[in-house]
Amino acid sequence: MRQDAQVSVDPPPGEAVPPEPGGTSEPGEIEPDPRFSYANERTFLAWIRTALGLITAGLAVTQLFPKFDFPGGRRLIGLPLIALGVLIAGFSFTNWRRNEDAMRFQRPLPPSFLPRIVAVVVSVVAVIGLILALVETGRS
Amino acid sequence: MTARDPEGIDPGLASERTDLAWNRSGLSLLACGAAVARGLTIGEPVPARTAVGVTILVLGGLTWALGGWQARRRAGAGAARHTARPADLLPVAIGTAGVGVAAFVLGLFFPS
Repeated sequence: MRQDAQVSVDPPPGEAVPPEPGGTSEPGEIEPDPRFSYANERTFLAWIRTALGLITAGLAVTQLFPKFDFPGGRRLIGLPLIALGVLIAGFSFTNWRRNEDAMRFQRPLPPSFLPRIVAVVVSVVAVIGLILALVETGRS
Repeated sequence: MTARDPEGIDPGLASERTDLAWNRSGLSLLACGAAVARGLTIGEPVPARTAVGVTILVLGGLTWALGGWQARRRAGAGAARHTARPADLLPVAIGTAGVGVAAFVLGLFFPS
């Protein structure tokens, strides 16, 4: 009876499933809808792919591009992309975890600053690339 | 299990789409590995560059093989069935970040 009282947290109406007895659940924690957990996992994977895409693009620039006349031009374009990829790989996990916790404790999903960072870095790199390309065209 | 069977109530096939997402992500890694391998053949061979490239391919491949295997196991029937837990995804994030760090070193010190 006492054990039952311990595991029976207040299940919210509708979606909630009480945590399994003997699990590591805390008071107030509910098991999220599996569909939402799967969607969260796919979002994590989509960010991982974004990270891999940026890393691959940065590698292609530093390894496959012909050299610019401007010294370090390829690194100027490629390395920020790779660094952004590393950053995204790390935050993809912490964001996944925050979303999962928010669902478990029925809080609103936290905002993410990743999309803004991606937009800013990619824009800046594009401008650098444009300037380098224009300078090289003017020289030849 | 007290949890509902998601496939019984889920017309969106969340489990299957998640499996496909794992496949796409693995393919992205192969593309990354191919870019490194292509980079290795350009210019004079540098032992350190070769070492970094091989490390990316081996560690990255292992990370994804393990992650994908875990995901299929989790999606299957029986006691092992559960949605993703931190220990399932953290190695993938660390592995991807590791690939990125290796790529950064490669690009910074060994551009072709």
